[in-house]
Amino acid sequence: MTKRKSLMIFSLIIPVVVLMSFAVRHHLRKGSGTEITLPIYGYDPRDFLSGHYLTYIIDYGVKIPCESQKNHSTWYVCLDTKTTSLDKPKGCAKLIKGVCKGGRFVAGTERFYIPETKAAFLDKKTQSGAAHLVMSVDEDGNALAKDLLIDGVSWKNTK
Amino acid sequence: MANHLKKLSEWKDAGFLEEEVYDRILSYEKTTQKPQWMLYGLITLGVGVIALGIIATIAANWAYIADGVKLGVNFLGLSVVGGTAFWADTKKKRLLAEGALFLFFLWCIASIGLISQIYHLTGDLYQPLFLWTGLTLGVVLLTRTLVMPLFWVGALSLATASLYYNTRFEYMIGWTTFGISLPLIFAIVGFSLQILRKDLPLTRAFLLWALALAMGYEVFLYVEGLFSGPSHIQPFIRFGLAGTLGALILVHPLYHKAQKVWLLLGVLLFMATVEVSIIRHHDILQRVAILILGLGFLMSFAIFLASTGSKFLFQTVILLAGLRLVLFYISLVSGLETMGLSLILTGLFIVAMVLLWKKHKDRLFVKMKEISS
Repeated sequence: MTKRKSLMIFSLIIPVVVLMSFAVRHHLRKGSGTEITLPIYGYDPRDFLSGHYLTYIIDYGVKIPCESQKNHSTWYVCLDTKTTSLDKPKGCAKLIKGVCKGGRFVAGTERFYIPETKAAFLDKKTQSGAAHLVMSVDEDGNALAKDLLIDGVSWKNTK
Repeated sequence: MANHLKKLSEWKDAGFLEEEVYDRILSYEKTTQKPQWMLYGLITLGVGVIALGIIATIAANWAYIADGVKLGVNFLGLSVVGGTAFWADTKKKRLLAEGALFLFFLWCIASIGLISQIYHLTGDLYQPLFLWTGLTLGVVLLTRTLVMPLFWVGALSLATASLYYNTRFEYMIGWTTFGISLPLIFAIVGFSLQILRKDLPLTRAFLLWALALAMGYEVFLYVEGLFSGPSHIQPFIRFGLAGTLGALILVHPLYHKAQKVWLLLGVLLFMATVEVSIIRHHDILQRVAILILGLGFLMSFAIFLASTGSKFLFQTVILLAGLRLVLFYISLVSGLETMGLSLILTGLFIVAMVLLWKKHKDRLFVKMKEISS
């Protein structure tokens, strides 16, 4: 086999394998982590609905001191004890890791993709405070958005 | 009538071609001509319409398609395109291989987007872009055309800028050093690859982007002025990079002495423009100095490009030098109270420059080629 052929096989297989493993990893994380449901609200009604996704702030029920922090400092939120810390706390079952960005705590789950046909309805419902985000978190505090609940029901089952 | 046939007719009328020769050429052209472009055009249009229809149907039912199906079809498609690229490359079907490789390249970023959408992932722009450029480096090294490497290096630039903007680097390195570092690093990578005898399309893409970013940054300096970060490490970074680039140019085995001189002068003038911009006077003297140094930088590269025979790039750089002059001129006349008069003068200035350029561009190219040889 020529060098070019070998390089081509390698170059074409690697992206497919890596991307597939990414998808599988997220799928496994979604199913295996601790499930947490938290209320969400919009920080700016004008850009609450951005294209085909909702952007929002998650109400962790605890004040995270991001306003006084430098950007990109990592924080841990322990929902069991309702405390925040710069170091990973021990023995916390419901832990969320995030960074301070623009004065806000960002866990990487602040975006939820929705179909265009339901966008207006979901936007209105979320504005009225009827929305909750279901997340899956692993033991290191990495969170993944799982579902969007409207009045306690998955957005997929709303009319 | 095709352009070359029109020309033939003109030559016949002017007496350069005899009637008999003209008829013979025409009859030969009729036998060899492949007037299938219209057919290909219509087929392409039809395929395009079908593709749009498929996309529209999928888009309308997107919410009702299971995530597993979306991902499965996506990876199946990606594998089929990859397989096609490999098969076509093995069978020496170059056009098909290049097309499939480019589609594979684009499909990778689409796949990243799809995974992000399905699992509601949030992140900064540099994350998907670095993943994309990292995964497709092999494909970019394999391509024989310049298009994909140009996209690839462009994505890398965007990812680097996003990384700079969205992380702590912003506090460590000021915009001045970042803006100057990117073209210098790209030029270092491009020349290093050339010295290692890796004259790949990727090498040319790095050098083209280095030139484009340097020119873009020059204009940015001129229009926006300068804001430099507080870090004391900045001079070391920019002078270190410029020194490395200078050393690479000096040892470059493919360029002769005159070419090296023009390249070094270009780098020197680029650095000088930035250094002059850092001094915060904002007076006319500083603006004129920046303009002269900037034009000198552009002209040095134009002469170098002329010596390599790159007429298109040479003309582009000269055109940009002209635009710099227009920009400077506009900044001068913007103070005039009579808006109408200043617009007329600007218009006349632009027309005069374009006419001069049109008349002398070929002669200028030859002259500059002579200077650098």
